[in-house]
Formats: sequence, structure tokens, C-alpha cells
Amino acid sequence: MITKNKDIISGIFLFLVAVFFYVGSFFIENLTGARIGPSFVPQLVSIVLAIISILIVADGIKHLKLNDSLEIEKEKKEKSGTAKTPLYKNAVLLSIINMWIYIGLMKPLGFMIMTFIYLFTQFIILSKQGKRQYLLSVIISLIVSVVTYYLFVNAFNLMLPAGILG
Amino acid sequence: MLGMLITGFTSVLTIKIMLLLVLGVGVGIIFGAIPGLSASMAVALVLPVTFGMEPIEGISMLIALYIGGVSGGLISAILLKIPGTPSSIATCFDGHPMAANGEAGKALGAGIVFSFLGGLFSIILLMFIAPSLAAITIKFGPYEYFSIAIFSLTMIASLSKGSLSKGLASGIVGMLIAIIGASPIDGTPRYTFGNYNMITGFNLLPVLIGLFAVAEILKSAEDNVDVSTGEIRDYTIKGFGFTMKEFVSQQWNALRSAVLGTGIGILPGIGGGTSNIIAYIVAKNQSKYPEKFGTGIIDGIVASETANNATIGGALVPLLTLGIPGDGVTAILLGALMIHDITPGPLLFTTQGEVVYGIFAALLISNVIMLIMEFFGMRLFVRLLTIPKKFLLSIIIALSAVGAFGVNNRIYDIWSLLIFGVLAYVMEKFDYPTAPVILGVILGPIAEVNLRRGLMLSQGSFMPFLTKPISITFLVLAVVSAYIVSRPKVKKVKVD
Repeated sequence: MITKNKDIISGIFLFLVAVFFYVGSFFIENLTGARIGPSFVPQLVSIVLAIISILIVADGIKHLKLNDSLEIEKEKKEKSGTAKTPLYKNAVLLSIINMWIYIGLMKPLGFMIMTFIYLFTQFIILSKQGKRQYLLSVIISLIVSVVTYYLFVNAFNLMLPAGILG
Repeated sequence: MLGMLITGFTSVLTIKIMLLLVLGVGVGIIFGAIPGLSASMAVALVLPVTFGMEPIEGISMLIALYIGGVSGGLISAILLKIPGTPSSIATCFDGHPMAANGEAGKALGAGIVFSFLGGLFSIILLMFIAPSLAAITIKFGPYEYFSIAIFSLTMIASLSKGSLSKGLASGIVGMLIAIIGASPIDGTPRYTFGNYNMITGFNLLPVLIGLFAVAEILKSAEDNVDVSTGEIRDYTIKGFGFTMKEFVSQQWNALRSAVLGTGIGILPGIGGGTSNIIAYIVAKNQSKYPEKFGTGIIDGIVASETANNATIGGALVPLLTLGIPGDGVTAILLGALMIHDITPGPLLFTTQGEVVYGIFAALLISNVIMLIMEFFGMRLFVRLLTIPKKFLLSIIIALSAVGAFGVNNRIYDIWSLLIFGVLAYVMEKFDYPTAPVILGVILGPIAEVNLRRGLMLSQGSFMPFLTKPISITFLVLAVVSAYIVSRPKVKKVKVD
């Protein structure tokens, strides 16, 4: 289903984005009083985006009518073609959450600890079941996080968050 | 010019810069060779490392990465049948059949030598075109810049794969991203919601790394990267792998592909990803034996690999003379130059001529280093192809976080990394190209600044945009190029 309605869904979403930016442009202060002020381009761009998004939706509807049967066939094919050994079921979502936690806790816990945890978790998320290589993953995570931290802090003078180790 | 070039060479012929060039080319080749990693990613990731260097040191290293990144793709294209970068897609067509026929060494040799020659051709052309073009573009005012930015935006949208409306929508998404933050000229905050961090807007670097690198790991989480890379073919190579006679027979093919590659590079918005395919198709159509293409002949590799490296010099023409990037990598290079307080554009040639010629010298030297490294380091690069991608990609994310943090020493920029990574992933899910986003982020502000400057000069009149000859030419071209692609689909070129 998603394949079929991609254009319609994304078009509607873009239209909402356009509306958001257009409405938002009225809250931009015009301090200089120029006729073409800071809100001109945002307004122009959001109007153009609104027009394009309508075109995309229209395209999507046309496509839907034309290729109804064709798409279903293709979808079936795609499904049978992607029968790979699964990683974790929600590897994408897990990766996003993992990164979210990584960034969120970087300040309190520090770059080194969080990078170690992040890398190890990410390795596991991207591993096939039964091929997790725990020990190797721990070793690589440890080396990368420690080396990166000291390299950037000492050689490149970048003050990465030290956290509880600092 | 010769005098300037010598100055350029003396500025880069230090031990430190030579080491940086070797390192840059090597890392670039690795990123180019490994499918899923690209030259853009390499430049974006290494950029933070260059913050502490002298401008010429940092820029030289990034240039080396660019050359290596474009050249590395042929390795996996030939030995794995997976193009390492989009620049080497057409190299697979004949490269893999050759490898299957036991001619992998010859395919690699031809690919490497003609990559070198294509690059050399375009760098020399760049050195001749750029200074004289800069002498013209220095007279450009806000009207011309506005029109060129608009032209570039339509080109990008229309030439990106997929539909025109989706390409345009992506470009506009990029412009909207750039609108967030303080406005140009008067600095009025826009869409910041009173958030202190958002006044500076989104920094270019995290946006770029997010779009390239973070999106990549999400894609591989979906595609299941933890599979073996497949069989890597073994090869032997003697000399350059091909005979002098074969070399001579390819001279017209190579010259044509080099011209095509450079020309396509100069056009804003299209880079090596397009030029190699076009050169391949043209070579096939012009050939006396088109039916042999795809069965494993050297012609196909020569066309593809000459053209993609020739795109490098071409793409640097608008970057250096106008400050407008030709493709994704040059977009990042533009950001990199600005971080090093070098503003690309015609003024650069008069105020910082030594930097321009330093860049030329770095290009020439990197091209030679590429040739040597690919010949003698080939086995090492091939070995690296077997490193599991789950390790590589995850480590790249950690390094991206370092890079994003390094921009302003704040966690906020790492958040934008994640935001734009997810954005790019979702966009790809819905078949939107992501390259136009990047150019929208860069070209949007250029268009806006010049629009408003122009209107201030003309006291609010739009007329000069339409009456200045160069300005109107580019606006007309913008309309024409948009019209051409919006016509019923030109027959899709079969690439298999």
C-alpha cells in the first residue's frame, strides 16, 4: 500500500510544510521596513512548494489509477526478492533510538563512555543473528572510543565532553 | 600564469602537505572503493580534522580526498560488480565482464590510467578557463548572481533522478532549512521559536554529514549489511595491463569522454554520477562495434573512468569563479573553504591568488599520487573491501558526531546530524532525491542575499533582473531547462 500512495502522502505532507512556513512568515518582524523584507523569500518559497506539492499529489492520483494492477505485481516481486536473513526486526528504528540515546547522554556521561556504548550497541544491531561477535565488538568499541577521544582532545584541541570521567 | 603556478607549487611542496596529500588520496580511495561510502562523506568527515590546520594545508587535504574518492570507485566496480560510488556505475558494465573473462588486471590498469588522464585533462583546462572566467565574473553584481543561483537550482532539480516536481521539492526543502535562523542582510530571526541555539540556523556541516552518513547507516540497517561482500576476484597485472596499441586505439574515446566529463562538471548540479553514464552511452553510440559494449571491452571502462575524473576539474570551475558548487562534493568543499576564511568567487583570484594556484598544484600532485597509490596499493585496498560494514558505518557515525560537535563545540549540532539523517532516510523512502537538498541549502541563501541586495540597489525595482543581459540569459536558461525536462519522459537509457 505504501508504495502506491507514496506520492499522495508525501505531497500532502509537503503542502502542510508549505502552509506552516507561509503562516510562520507573518511572525517574522520586518525591522527595516523594506517592501522586500526578511519574510519575502520564505513566503515565495512556501507558495512555490505548495504548488509543487499539489502537482505531486495530482501525479500520485493519476499514477494510482493508471498503474493499479502493475504496482501490485511489482510489489509482490519486491517482497519475494527481499527475503534476506533478518537483523533485528526494527533495525532502523533501533539505530535511530540508539543514536538518540548517544547524543542525549553525551554531555552527562561524556564522549568516551557514550561512544563505547553506542558503538557496541550499533554493532549488535547491525549484526545477523548468531553472528554477533561480542568480544570483537567490545574490543573495537573500546579502541575506537578511547583513541578518538584522546586524539581529538590532545592533537586537534577539540574539547569533547568529558562527562563523569573528566 | 606560470609564475603563479610555481608559487602555488612552492606553497604546497612542504613535507607536511605532501603527507596530508598522500593520506587524503589514500582515505579518499578507501571511501570511494567501499560501496555506501562516498567522496562527499570523506570530505565532510575529514573537514573537522582540518580546522586546526593552515588554510592551504586543510584545503590540499580535502582536494586529495576528492580526487581519491572519485578514483576509488573503479576498484569495486571491476572486482565486485558494485560501483563504489555513483561515479563508477558505468565502469561496472564492461569492468565486471572483463574480470569474469580473466582480464581484471587489464580492466583495473585501464581504469587507473584513464582516470589519471581524465583528471589531468580537466585540471589543465580548469587552470586555463578559471582565471579568464574570473576576470568576467568579477563584474557580476547581485542581479547576475541571483539569476545564476536560480538557474543552478532548476538544473539540479531537473537533472536529479526521478520526477522534476520531486527534485524541485527537495531543492525547496533545502532552501527552507537554510531560511531557519537569522535572515541575511538584516539578521532578523526566522522560525527560531525563541530558541537561542537556532538563531545561527543549522550549520552546513552537520546538515551535510547527516544527509550523507547518518542516512547511510539507516539504509544499511534496513538492507542487512552483515552479509559477506561476495567473492572478490583475483587478478594479475603486468605493466599497465594493456598494450600501447590498445592505448592508441582509445585516444579519441578518451578525449571525447574527457571533454564530456569536464563540460558536465562545469554545469551546476550534475557531477560524476551522471557524466560517467553519459560518456559511456556516447562512446557506445559512436563506436564502430556498439554490440561489443557490455561484453567486457576496454572502451567502456575508458569512457566511464576518463569522464568521472574529468568532472573534478569541471566542477571546480563554477566553484572557484562564482562560489557556486557544481555537485555534492564541491558543495562541501565550498563550506570547507569558507570555514578556512576563503570565500570562493572571482575576488579570490585577485586577493588570494596564491590560494587558487595552491589548489591547482594540490590537484595536480594528488592526481599523480592517486595513480601511484592505486597501482601499488591495489591489493591493500582490495583487502579493505572485506571489512564488515557494520563496523565501518558505526564508527563513521561516531566520527560524524565528533565532526558536528567540532563546528561550534555544542551538542545541538550533533542533534541536527540525527534530524537530517532521518530526513534523508525518509525522503529516500518516498523517492525524493537528496542531492538537491544540499544545493538548496547552499544556493537558497545566495539567491536571497543577491535578490535583496539587487532590490536595494534598484530601489525596489525588479527590472534590472530582466534587463541585464547576463541575468536575463540565465533566467531564460532556467525556464528552458525546466521546460525540457517537464516534457514527456525522454526514453530511459537502459543501463544494464
